[in-house]
Amino acid sequence: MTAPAPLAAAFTARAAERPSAPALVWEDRTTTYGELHAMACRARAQVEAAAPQTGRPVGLRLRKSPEAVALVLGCLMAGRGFLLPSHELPDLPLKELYGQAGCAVVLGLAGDPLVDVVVDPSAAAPGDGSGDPRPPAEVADGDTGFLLTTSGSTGLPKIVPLSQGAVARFTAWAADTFPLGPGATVLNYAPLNFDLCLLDVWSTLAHGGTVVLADPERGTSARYLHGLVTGHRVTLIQGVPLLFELLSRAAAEAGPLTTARHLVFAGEAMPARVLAGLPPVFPSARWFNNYGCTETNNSFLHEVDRGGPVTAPLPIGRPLPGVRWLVTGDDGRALAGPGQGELLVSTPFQTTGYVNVPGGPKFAPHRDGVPGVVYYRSGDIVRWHEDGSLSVLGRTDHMVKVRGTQVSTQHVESVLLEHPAVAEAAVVALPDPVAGHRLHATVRPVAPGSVGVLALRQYCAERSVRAAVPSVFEMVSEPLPRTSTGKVDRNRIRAGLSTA
Amino acid sequence: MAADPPSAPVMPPAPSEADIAGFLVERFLPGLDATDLDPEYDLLATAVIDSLAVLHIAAWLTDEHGVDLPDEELVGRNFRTVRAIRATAGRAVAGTGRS
Repeated sequence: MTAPAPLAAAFTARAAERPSAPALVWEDRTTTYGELHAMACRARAQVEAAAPQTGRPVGLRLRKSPEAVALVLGCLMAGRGFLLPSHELPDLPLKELYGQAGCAVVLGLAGDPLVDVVVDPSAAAPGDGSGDPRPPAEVADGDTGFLLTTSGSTGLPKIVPLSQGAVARFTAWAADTFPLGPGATVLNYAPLNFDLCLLDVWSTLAHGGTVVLADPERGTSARYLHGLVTGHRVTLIQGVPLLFELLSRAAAEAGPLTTARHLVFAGEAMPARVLAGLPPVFPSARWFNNYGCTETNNSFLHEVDRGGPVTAPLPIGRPLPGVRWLVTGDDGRALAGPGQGELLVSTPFQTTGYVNVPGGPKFAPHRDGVPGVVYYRSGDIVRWHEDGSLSVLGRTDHMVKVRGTQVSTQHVESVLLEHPAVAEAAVVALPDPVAGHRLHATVRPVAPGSVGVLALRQYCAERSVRAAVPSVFEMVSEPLPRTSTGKVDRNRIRAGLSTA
Repeated sequence: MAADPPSAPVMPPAPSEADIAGFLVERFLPGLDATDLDPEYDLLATAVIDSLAVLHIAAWLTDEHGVDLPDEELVGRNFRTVRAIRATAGRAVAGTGRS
């Protein structure tokens, strides 16, 4: 088997084949492959001028736009590694991250105190009206391209380098699994610094499809998102549960989303309540539950039987081709068969380790694993079912002991979210001198008074061990705080409780 | 309020179900109305109370109602519901016969 082409080479080939095909849609403006390629070439020349050394990465400070996509492609064409952190990070930690990654220079599309050089992909280089016809720089399989950051909300994010080879293998897998070529229109919901973009933006551009870029500023507007899907006839939608919930809400008024053929659930566990509402919204779509993280990228995939009974959590299904995995028990040894423990994975797409913190035991061979294979300790507790599929029960760091019993706060949340009158729920564990931990549930009912504390306690008690029934229920009417990616912000809830 | 059954001897009365529900709601279910708490609602399975709470309830029975529970009565099943707590208190009142 020949190695798949690096991302920049694949994109360049698509642009040469079909220059007038639409590559990007942003605010009703279409950028063709030819135009995007020309922008990327101009960006490349400016990247090379700003960072003559090839050995050090450049830092990027970007908000989503066609120019931002062009600048990333320009870095790839120049063969430079590039750190792509969240633009929402405050200046101080951002500066520290650029330093830790060893960035030679920080590039942006607009003036900014942190930006050393402003790149303008629309500006022709002096004396060169036709753009830059040079082929992308040759890259080796192990050269670093993307440097992403983890989304951990405590402390400085970890920097995750992805090799050119890892990304090339990923885009090849993505196109083998989902239609991403000419005719495919893919919604990109996540901000550009997210690993999810490897599928919806970068794999699509490597294979000739069209990416509809959703503006993160309007990421909670159901009507806007619904309009993007119907207006541009989107065929593939990948996102966190919030996205699908918003689309369902808008569809109730504005009609079903008939063009969607593939849905990919990512980022966090899909609540049963959201799943149950999807069939009429997406009458023609197949559903996939995706499992992965920034360190390994997609690892497992499960096609959901949309006609079957709704089960939550959804299984994560089967390993992708080339993925190796183990489930380790309390003694650290691999289970030989069905059971419960921490999932360790090794994928063809994974990082070699963090740039700014020691990976230590997070990335290591395992004595029960394939010799020489480096496994990533996912921190996810999974159940290995009799039929061979896996389900995620929660994070190891969400596992707490309540009166001596192991409880996953995420599992308690998913039980609450299955209640038809619960719109949102967050469960945090607070230290307790007697019980070890006590669980505090914050619940927003779908309407005030639609469910009471006693009924919710009963509901939990019928479905969980007693230790998993929260000791405190707080009913609220305001939406729960969420992170920029739409996940419920448990840290903010916890902070509010400990200062209250 | 219903009177105690006529067969009961003259004793300090055990607290009523409404008294018990009132205490439980005030102490363990703030924000609720005591009348919302069904006398058969399972307080243990739903984690409204735990073994530590059992001791608090026993102390309340002693301090506020002069009902002393023998140690062997301090088990979860005797506190599972408002009705069970009422029955436990009633047994203690009848059994000790203290004036």
